[in-house]
Amino acid sequence: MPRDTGEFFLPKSDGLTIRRPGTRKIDQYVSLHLCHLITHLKQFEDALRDLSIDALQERLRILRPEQTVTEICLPDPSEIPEECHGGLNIHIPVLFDDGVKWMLRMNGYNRAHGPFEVSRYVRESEVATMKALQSVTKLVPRVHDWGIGTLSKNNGEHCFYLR
Amino acid sequence: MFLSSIVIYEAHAGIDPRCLFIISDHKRGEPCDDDLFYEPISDTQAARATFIEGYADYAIQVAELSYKAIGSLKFGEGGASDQITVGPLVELYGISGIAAPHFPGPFKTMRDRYIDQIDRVLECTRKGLVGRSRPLSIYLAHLVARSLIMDCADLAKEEGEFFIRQPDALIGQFLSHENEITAVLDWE
Repeated sequence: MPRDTGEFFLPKSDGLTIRRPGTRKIDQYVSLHLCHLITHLKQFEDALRDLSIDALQERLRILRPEQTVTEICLPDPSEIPEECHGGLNIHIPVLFDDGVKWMLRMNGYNRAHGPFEVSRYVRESEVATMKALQSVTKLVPRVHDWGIGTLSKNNGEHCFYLR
Repeated sequence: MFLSSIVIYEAHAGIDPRCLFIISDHKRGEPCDDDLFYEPISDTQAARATFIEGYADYAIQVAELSYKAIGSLKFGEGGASDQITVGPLVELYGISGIAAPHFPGPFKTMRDRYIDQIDRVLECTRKGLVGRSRPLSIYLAHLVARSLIMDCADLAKEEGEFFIRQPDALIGQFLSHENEITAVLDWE
């Protein structure tokens, strides 16, 4: 059942709920910088369509074997709400049965940012920076996992980086 | 830098859906708002003071980490997460994504860092790879910047100790709850 106006739920047989956040159509963005926005929304759309929920659940099972994922807040790829993304990444909250909430932060590779190795290195550097900062402050979210392509429906074509 | 990004999209059309992801804790809080600093101080004085104190504590904590060069952090050999070091200075926006070398640095001085970027913008402008809508103004602006940097002795100092700075430190990158900072996000 919907919890808030603009949300709806897609129940699955294994008890997992895929929650859709409120949506906003692309034509409502026209007052923003259209060139960047459409490029990024297309990037997010492709990343969402490429995301394998089964692969995500499997990763989460490995990371928290004692707990069960109960809810994934997954935007409709064709209508991604503004609050679900920043300039470069889309964010997908994940809820476990003990109330713990994690965040999947992901993007698709955008050729506007140069060779893929640049994007790969930037992601690795982001994780390295967060891990370094976690040793001195609690304000930076703790990283549980990161990778490239491993949550993809076509992950056989991609390289793997898991630590 | 003064680089126009419009041309980048003309030069590199197309998206590849490879997924780069991070799974992390979800932090409580709402993004801090510019109003905290733009509203009349009488309306936001207490909230502003709480935020500034929280930010000061955070800055002191982050200053515990220091490095010997200017660049982006990376994992050690073989991906060792306990040996994080400074690697090349790489960012998604700016000249690095467009023009090789895509992995410049690490650098010893701020002068080296900025001159490297400016010289590549100048070269790309000469070749017509960037700034095609107004190449002369972009070229001259970067020449001026280059001259100012070369004349600044402070930027040429080898400090020997460098600290982590959030590369996109907008106030919205800070989450807060009841004016207490709860998270600092977006370390890309």
